[in-house]
Amino acid sequence: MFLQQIVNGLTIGCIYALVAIGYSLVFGVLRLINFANGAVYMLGAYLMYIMMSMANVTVALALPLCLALTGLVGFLVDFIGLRPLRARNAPRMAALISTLGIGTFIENAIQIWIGTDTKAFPNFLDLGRVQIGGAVISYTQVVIFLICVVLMAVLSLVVYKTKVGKSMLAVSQNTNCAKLMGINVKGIIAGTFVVSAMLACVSGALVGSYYQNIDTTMSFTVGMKTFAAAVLGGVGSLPGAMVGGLIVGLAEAIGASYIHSGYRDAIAFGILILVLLIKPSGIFGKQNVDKM
Amino acid sequence: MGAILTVKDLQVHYGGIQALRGISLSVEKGEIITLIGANGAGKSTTMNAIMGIVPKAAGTVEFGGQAITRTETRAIVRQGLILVPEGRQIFPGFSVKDNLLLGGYFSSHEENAAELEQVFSLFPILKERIHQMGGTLSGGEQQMLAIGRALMAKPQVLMLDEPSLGLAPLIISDIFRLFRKIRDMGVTILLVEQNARMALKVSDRGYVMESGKIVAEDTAAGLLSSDAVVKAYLS
Repeated sequence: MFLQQIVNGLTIGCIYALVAIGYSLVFGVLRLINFANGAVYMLGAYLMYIMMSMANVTVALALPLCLALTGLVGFLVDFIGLRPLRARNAPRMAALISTLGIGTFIENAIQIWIGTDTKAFPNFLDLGRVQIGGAVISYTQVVIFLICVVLMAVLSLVVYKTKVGKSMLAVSQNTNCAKLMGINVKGIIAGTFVVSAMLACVSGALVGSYYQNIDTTMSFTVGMKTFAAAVLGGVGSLPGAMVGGLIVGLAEAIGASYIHSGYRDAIAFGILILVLLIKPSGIFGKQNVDKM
Repeated sequence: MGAILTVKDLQVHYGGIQALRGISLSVEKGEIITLIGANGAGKSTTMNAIMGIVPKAAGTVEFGGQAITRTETRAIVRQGLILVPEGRQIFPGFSVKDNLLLGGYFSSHEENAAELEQVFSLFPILKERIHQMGGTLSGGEQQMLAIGRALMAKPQVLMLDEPSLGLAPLIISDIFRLFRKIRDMGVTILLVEQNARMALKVSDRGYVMESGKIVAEDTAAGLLSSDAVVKAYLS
């Protein structure tokens, strides 16, 4: 029973981690929480649903298409919603509200076009299951875990070892000075939004496949839970987002089975409140984070 | 010898405040020029406007015979006009080496390797600290790192905003002596300094700024012996 919850928690936790990374990357370069991230995650799941269940496209084609589309949406979140504000030196609160607005727009557009009822999502990872000890592990879970680990490893390599990644870290340490080095700051910011959106899309697709259904509340609940995960790990920190996601996933799975499954969502928010009260900078965070 | 950097009637507004009211100056190849003036006279703004960090309301900037008035900062950097910003602004979370390599952003691996050796010969202390995080260096070392990082970009013109700010007197004279050395390497230098006497001593010419305007222009020796300048800025 306990082992089973660990397995379930790790599965959902590493999906949360991918979304949380999106918050952290954007926060890193702009000192801004992108509240449209949860909506992009939902959009990723719905685009997969539209292509696979409504248009009968195979997963091999649907996934790259969805990645491209959500990447474009991520780019537009910045290009339409934030870049004009930066050009005018608008207060950061305006940018925050802008991301909330775009998130609401995406959510409502999906509700109008697809409807608010729960949709059956095709499990494109259904490969059977295996029993280890007392726990039943489905291959879906194994594949999800592997995809997430590989993505996180690749992302860490890119951020810490490549020129693009170093440019991104430079922007996050000192945007103005990064500009003086000759770094294409606009490009780095746009790229960060694209990567974050694609990570959210992968997470949405994996969650859909895992639970085999999606509904329009997923944007808010997972958006907020992964925000909690990012804050727990220390928002702006890449390893922080990964650890934060796993902890929230594990706490949720264990809490739901040992306390009450009705508290599943409350647990993540409980963690968020505790972190904000006790250590607002999070596990890996720097001490002097501006609070927003 | 033609001017390598020419600024004509440069104006900058911050909100409703006019920070620069028409600045004109020119820098010849191989010169060391100092811009002196009181706090808030617009010295830093001039540099930031030239680099395209601060938007220009009017005026033109020419660098190496090409107009760069509306050019993006990174394209200006690529052409070899480099600013060492006020307060050094090194990347605290990067090692000394990574800071330097970011300075050589547009250079190849081989060029950077050669350039690193050159920087280390000017600043041996940086070689000792090569793997240390930028944020852990002392103020003087950070300034050396900031200058070294700028040299990595192989500048034609190097602009330095208050390089002596917050440094111990002994280190300041070291750094000023270095400017001559850097000039002898073929780099033209435009300095902004509060420490006017020190700066003028290593300079060829100077401009005096007052509330967004240039109010005097002369050889360094001329400015150092001018009563008005001595009274206002050198006493």
